Order: sequence, then structure tokens, then C-alpha cells
Amino acid sequence: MRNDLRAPIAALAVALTWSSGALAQAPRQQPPDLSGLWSPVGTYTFDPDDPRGGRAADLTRYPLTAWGLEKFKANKPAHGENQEAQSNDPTNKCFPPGAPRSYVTPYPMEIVQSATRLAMLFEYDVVYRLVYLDGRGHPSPDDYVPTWMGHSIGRWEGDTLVVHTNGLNGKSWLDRVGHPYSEEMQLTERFRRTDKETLQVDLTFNDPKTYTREWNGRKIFRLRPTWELKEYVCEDNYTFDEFQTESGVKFVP
Amino acid sequence: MRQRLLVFVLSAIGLAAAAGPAFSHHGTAAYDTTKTVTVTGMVTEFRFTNPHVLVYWDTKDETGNIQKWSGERSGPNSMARNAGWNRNTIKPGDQVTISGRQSKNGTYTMAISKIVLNGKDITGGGDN
Repeated sequence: MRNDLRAPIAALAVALTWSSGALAQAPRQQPPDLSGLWSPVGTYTFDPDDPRGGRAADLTRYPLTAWGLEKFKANKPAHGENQEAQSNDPTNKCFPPGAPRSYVTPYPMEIVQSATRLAMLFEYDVVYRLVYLDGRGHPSPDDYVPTWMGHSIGRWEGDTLVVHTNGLNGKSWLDRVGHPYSEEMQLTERFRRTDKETLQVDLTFNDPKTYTREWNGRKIFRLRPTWELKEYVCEDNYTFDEFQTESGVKFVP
Repeated sequence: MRQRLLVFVLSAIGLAAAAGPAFSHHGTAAYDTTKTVTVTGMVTEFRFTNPHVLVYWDTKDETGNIQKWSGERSGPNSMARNAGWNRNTIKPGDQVTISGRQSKNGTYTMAISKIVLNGKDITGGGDN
């Protein structure tokens, strides 16, 4: 009987030795998992100390160039401390918020992550953003027509995902209080899960056409494990319906 | 001819005015945020719609004339998550007492801050 057990025990020993060897050869550390449904805290600006944009016109905070200032003054926000009754916010006409403004809607995003991709699925207007994590670079500007979301690549630095974006078209606003940007924007974002429930995104804006120097922003998201993404299509808005009526062109699906 | 055109234009303006208040854009700039008004009445319509849910209700002024009120709250996604609302939460015929910030132009329109439905506060969160 004792002899009968020897073979299986030896096999088990081999198996354990093999699997521990396999573990030893595995990557040292898996990158953090940022997956989940995340709801933004504060929905007007990238300044947690000024969530409603009371300091939106402070040029020491937002170092606008002459060109940038002209654009900023022409923008009439519908939200925040300096809102105007007659706004020209492009999202009121259902233009996409683009990146990074999709973070400052009052609606959540779902992050889906794999070894080679990180996808942000935004509830507001059913748009997405894709970050390539496979080591590729940005396409040549000759081959990339600027877009609302731009082209994003990322790499892990310890527990932080560093994402670089260019190729933005500059047609949206950076935030909901009217700060502009241009096609020259180079956006760097650092994603870190500061605790289980909190995602912190530190943004560095480098856009020499619009701002005289780099400046920083921060966005905090809270994990909402019980929520599901819902659909929000801007063209369903009764305000868009009114806009169409005013324009004299009305499409009804 | 010119007179006929004038009549047409005036009729068109009248129709537009009768079509009711326009919650033309987001934000609260159109509302008088210095004071809160409270209006009790009966719901005539509820729209669970983006960008903001809309409530329409009738009340009677001191002389017995009907005032037609309307008000907006957060979007339906937020109201569902933060206050448990759905498209049947409010129905025509319901009794409501609604508080909020009235339109600066004096129309019977408000940004709703509190809503009591058939005696129960259903305001919830959803300030998005």
C-alpha cells in the first residue's frame, strides 16, 4: 500500500517543483488593475481647489498666450461661476467633448484594461478613448488627421500609468469653463489608484500656442462598483431639439 | 398684404410663447439664485429626458386662475442612480410641492431643488 502511493507523491512533487519554477519565471509584478466604473469628482474644471471655475480667468493659474486669451474670452460657458445665459459651449450643439474634457462631464466612465490596451468608455455621448500599451509610438503627423480624442500611448512606471496624447484637433474646450487648446497640445496624464476606491489622474498641459508654459491639473474619480454604464446620446436632448428647430433643420429618426 | 404678413408674424410669436418655457441650455444663469419659491399643485406631465428631467404642474393663484409651472432637475441617469427615479416616478394627477429657483424673466419656470410627491420627499441627490 505504501509503495502504491510513491508514484503519485513523486508526480505531485515534480508538479510542485515545475509550477514553482514557472512562478519564478513569471513577470515580477502585474501592473495595477484600473478596471471599473469611475465617477468624476467635480465636473467643471481640472482644479480640485476650484471645482466651479471661480478662478478660470486667473492668468497666473491658466497662463494663456494672447491667442489663447482671445479664444478664452470668446468662449461663453454654460456652467460654473462665470456662466452666461447665452452660452456657445460646443457641447450644447452636440459636438463631442473630446479629450480630456470627457473627464469633466457629470457622467462616469468605465475602464477596461488588458496587457496591450486601456479603453475608457464614456457614458456621455457614448464615446471611447483607447490607449495603446504595446510599446508603439505615435503615428507621423503626416499620417494622422487630428481628432477629438487624439492618439494616446501609455507605459507603466511602477504603479502609475503614464499616458501621452497628441493629435488633438483643438475644436473642443479643455474643461466646462471655457479654457481653449490647440492642435499643438501635448497632453501627459499619470493614472494612479491611490486607494481601492480612488483613481487619481494628474494632467500636464503643454500647448505653446495657447499657454505660455506647461500647467497642471488633477481629476479624482470614485469607484462605483454597483453602477452600470447607461446610455447618454446628446441628440436625444430636448435642448438639441430646440436648437434644430431654431436652425430650421429638423431630423427625426 | 403687409397687414396680413404682420398678423401672421404676430400669430407665430403668440404660438411660440404659448408653446411653453424653453429650458434652452444647461446651467443656472437663467434662474434667480437669491431666493427659493415653493409651488404646490397637480402634475400634468413628467418627462424623464436628457439633459434634465422635466416636471409640469398646475397651481391656482389667489384669484383662482391656473398658473402653469414647469421645472427641471438633473439628468435621468443621475436621478436614477442618486434618487432611484424612473420614468414612472411622477405621473399626471400626482400632488406635488416643488421648491426651486425661479426664472429671472418671471416665467413660471424653475430649477428644482426639492420635490415632495404625494406627501413624500423624493428629491434625492443628483446635483449633476
